Amino acid sequence: MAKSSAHGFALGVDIGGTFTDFALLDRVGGEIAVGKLLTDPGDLASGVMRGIAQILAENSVPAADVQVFVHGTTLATNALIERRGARTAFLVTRGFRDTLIMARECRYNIYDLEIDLPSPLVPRSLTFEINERLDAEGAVIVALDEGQVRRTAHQLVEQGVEAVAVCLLHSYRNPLHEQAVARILEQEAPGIAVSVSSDVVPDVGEYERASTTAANAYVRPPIRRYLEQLVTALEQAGTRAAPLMMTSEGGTISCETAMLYPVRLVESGPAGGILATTYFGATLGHDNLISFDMGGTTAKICVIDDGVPTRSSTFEAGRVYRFAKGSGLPLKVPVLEMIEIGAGGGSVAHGDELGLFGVGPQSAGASPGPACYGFGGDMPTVTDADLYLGYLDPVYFLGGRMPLHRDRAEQAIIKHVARPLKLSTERAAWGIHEVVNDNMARAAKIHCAERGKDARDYTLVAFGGAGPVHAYRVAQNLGIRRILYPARAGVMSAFGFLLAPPAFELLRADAAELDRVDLRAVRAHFAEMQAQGKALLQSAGVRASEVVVDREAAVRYRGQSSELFVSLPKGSITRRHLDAIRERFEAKYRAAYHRTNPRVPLEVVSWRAVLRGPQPKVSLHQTHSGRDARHALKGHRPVFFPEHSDFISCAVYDRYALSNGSCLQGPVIIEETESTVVVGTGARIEADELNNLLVTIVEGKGDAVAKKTRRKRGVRK
Amino acid sequence: MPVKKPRRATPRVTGKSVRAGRHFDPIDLEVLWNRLVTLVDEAAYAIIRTSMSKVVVEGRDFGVMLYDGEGNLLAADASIASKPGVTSVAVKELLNRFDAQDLRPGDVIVSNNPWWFMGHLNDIGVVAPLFYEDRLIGFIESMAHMADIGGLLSGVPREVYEEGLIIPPLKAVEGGQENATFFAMLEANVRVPEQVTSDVRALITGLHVMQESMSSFLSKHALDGLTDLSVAIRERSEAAMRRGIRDSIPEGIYRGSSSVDGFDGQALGIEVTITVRDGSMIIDYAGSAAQSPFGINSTLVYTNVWSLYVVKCITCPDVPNNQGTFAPITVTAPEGSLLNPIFPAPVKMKPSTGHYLPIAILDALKDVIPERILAESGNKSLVYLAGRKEDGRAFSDLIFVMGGMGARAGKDGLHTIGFPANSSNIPIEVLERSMPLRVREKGLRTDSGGAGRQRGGCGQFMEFESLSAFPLTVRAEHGKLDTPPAGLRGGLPGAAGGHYLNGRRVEDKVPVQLVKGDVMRLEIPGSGGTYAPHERDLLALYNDVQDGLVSRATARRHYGRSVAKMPAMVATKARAKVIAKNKRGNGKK
Repeated sequence: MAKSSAHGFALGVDIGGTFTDFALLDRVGGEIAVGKLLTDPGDLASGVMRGIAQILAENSVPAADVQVFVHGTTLATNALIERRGARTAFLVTRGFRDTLIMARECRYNIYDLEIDLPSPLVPRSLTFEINERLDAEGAVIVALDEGQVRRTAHQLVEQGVEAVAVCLLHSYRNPLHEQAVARILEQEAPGIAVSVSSDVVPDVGEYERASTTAANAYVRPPIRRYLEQLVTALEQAGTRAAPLMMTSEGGTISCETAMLYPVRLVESGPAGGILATTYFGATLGHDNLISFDMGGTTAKICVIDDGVPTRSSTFEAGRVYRFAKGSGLPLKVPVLEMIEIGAGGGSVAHGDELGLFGVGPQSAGASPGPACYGFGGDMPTVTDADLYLGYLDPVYFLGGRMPLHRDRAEQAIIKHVARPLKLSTERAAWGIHEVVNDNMARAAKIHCAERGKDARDYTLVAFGGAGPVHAYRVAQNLGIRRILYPARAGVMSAFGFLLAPPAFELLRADAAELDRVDLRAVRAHFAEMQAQGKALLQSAGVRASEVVVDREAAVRYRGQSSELFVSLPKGSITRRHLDAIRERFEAKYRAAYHRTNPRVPLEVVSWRAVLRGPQPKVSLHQTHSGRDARHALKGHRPVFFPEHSDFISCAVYDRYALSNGSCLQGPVIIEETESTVVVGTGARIEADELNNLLVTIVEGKGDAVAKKTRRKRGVRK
Repeated sequence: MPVKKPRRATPRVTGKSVRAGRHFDPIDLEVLWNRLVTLVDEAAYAIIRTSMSKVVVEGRDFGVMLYDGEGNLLAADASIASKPGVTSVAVKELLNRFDAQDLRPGDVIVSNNPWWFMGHLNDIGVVAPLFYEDRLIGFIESMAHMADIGGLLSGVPREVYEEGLIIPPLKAVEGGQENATFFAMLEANVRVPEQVTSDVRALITGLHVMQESMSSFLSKHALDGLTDLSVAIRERSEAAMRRGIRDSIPEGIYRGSSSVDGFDGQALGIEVTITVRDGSMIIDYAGSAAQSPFGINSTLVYTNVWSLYVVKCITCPDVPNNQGTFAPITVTAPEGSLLNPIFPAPVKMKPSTGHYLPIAILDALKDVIPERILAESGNKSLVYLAGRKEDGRAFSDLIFVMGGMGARAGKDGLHTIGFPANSSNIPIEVLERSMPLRVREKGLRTDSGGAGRQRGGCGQFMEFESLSAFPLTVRAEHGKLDTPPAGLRGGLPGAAGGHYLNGRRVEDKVPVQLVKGDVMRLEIPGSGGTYAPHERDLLALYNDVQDGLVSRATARRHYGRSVAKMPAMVATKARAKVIAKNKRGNGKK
């Protein structure tokens, strides 16, 4: 890599649960270097600094030449999941002490009598009621009892509280009481970090707002400690770049902003992966993408339309039960929408003598892990099936760092699936592979259908340890014709961070029927959000003139409980905008539900503004030093392909040795350190200069089950 | 178009054992089965997103079902609705009434016969024939609880006629065209026409969504119909349920009982005899009270709902719902009894009875499988609110106020979680926006969770004030408000509940009218504990006292522990635990 350049280098660092990934980009030359280290949960900052020193040294880049530093960490998420955050108190309107405990009074699984619910972040004993009350319009019914707030502040100090979440009823309509509470707390208990709900997420719905605010408060002290350490260490190391933090919405914010709103840092890693997906898709001319990230326990799927990842306004942290919706803590934060299902390499297959069969969502995890790991696991997993079928090489798993035991995989499949179901081992192993693929494909299909989209119009982008092994069949299942396997998939997130613009989403909940919207109030909401957002972006180094604003309205028919987001045309808000809202809402609604409801009035529930700084311009120029395909051939091994109904001798290639323009035909296996690309018969694979692989599925619609049932019918006739 | 009065039907929900079908490879079957359930789920999500009422969205009081051509249930929405719609007999009844020749693509039949659907007129169901390549291959049904169905609001009905609009089975949509007469009739007879007609249309949307996806499912898999798949699915499910019953309940005859509050303070008995033999169960309610002159009667379909629900929880929670799953279970109740009333019995408040059937069943099994059942729960109050907004527009809706869920053998009960019926609350901020009332307080009731080694979950209080210039009608319906939910195996009962208007007790299920400034307070029962209180872990008790869930007096009286001494004892105990843990850890190494 170049020793130095006028525009310097950008460095992305992603701390994950197991590994910390590094991506170093030469901003002029377009070359990229990557690195990977085991995460040291005991001392995150030192680990990061060691990794930085290493990658800079390897590439002979002086620390002072790093001009952009973007960082994402699972610290906030892990603190929430493991309940290792600050000692946090909760302040709430008199009469509503149990808001956090009672949650939505709902079970996420109706048949499980042994059900557990996520425990609240704040115990009841640290919840304090405040004398005050607003009505639904935000008018004061009971004035704030400031003396009582003061006394409460003293109690908090006595109780050794480090952080406070304040969530008063209807404060999203009128923040004055919450702001006054915050002021008093800052005066009386200056050491305590205060988060108020009208600032963190001014949206209607007291439980979700309280839960989000509590989470923000809960992770503020640990995030602040970590970031302060990191900033000091970076300065000492001589980097001049102020670190930017990656958010769940796929933007970056300054460290100061991150310390105020650390709840925005959850799920930043996956957001980076989605940005990288979008980037690689765009460079190859594909704007409609489904990202497919399959790891050890779950698969994550995200839909990208016209080059823009789908957004959502809620996320659930730390689901306690089989990744079930509703079993985690709800957080109202802007996120790149992702569905996560319990399907990964470790998903366990089970079959019984009644002929019942299934894969997941239970996972063998890393310990005991799949049977083939030889760590004592005895249940057959997806990885075991993949190994048995020849998709994985027992001596080249993780680049050969971990030997796999095919005999143990086989025994587990026989014992728990083939024998009870009276199937051949081959059929059982293929069945495991097929069913887990179908579970993922169905999830993707529903996700598209909910938006009125057809999965067939998309390109699948596969990464994660197991993604490339399964992508081909998932694509076939969905009727997708093109699959992209991006290069350096192992550090997708860290690279994605370098593509993120500074960004911050804000919202104002002010429900009104569309025809009765108070235009002046809406203009004021947007003016306020823009002023606040611009200030936040400026702290991330963005000039006011560079800020771009996307405005949206959350709209529904009166009485409904879920909204669709529609974007607003440019310009000061006028009646014309309201007409545009109606048109756009109806178009979206019709696409999803095949009808509209002209007699029911529309209602705008909230307005939101996404403010963005300039998108970093990244163009990779890497002449990949591979040779032509013949030289990349590692050998042949028996691999099962359903279209041949048998194991056939299949060519195995070294991905790194493929050069620009290399072209292969399925069936083929292409190995790299972190994963293995498996492509079936009748597909064409091309490698580009960055070592991305693009697969075109030429033959065959539909999937194996469909074909088989069709065949059966033919036989019967 | 035959338009008949709903007549007394004698639905038999449990089918005979399914015949052996063509063989499907278990893996292919798993794939096809999952895909089928997904189609039903997609329709359910479409209903949730397009519905206008809180009962549907927050209460999840709806369902979507797919039937084969003979009316056998093949799949029901899995993850969304609050209860198994598996017991609807609408399709079978319709098959008796309609000539299949009269059904055309684009037809949708509507009805709210309480003896067919979920047991009262508020539940409207729509059924559409499913055509594929011009052949009738099955039926799809969706049903939901409507926010209003007309009828008497100010008093207690004595006949189903007083309970609202009766919709005989008729075509709401014919050949794709909406039946304007039906919608006009519906609009004219309900208090919130916009909401109710929108919800009926949401149900129809759900059917459309499923119709479309079903055609592509069948053509993709080159299936010419649902019959073979139906047989294979039902066969597997039935076998799984039989195994579940065998594995979880020893053979035998078990008797249990429970009661619900009637009117005028008298309790009505529920008696159940459960015969478990060879992987099948007969649940017989002989000996239960006669049908009531008031609307707490539970039609047999509804009696089935809650009986089958709790059996499934105990025996076979993971197998999807279909006719096969429930084939090994037969539910019977004498005609003319509270659990199988005769038309035109009033039925509007059927949850007040139906929600307590699981308690009787659990009571019967409490000595047989003590480790698998839970102490009695506090259920929930269903609160109907109807009135006018400031601009004169009518509103009518239903909210749920949950009691505690009973303690389990190894786990505490859950606070404010409805059992058996699941639903969610509506945010106070949303409630106060949509109705002229103000919630004054809402929280957990201290000491309402029954004492025990495992403590019962707490019930709640909720107090609200009418802000309306118009009268606000409130009818809060619980069913067993005055009886403390029983504990199990030495656990103590939870606290009973009460509904109050301006501090004066009001009778459960009886409507009251609030004028501006009137205050209604609901205290919902907690739930029972399991095992003797003195066995409770000291740290857990200490935390409960710190959190104010258990008062100091109760800690002393029921748990036999003095709180003053607690911190020291807890510290000692906690230290002992750490030491023990370290020892174990060392031992491993």
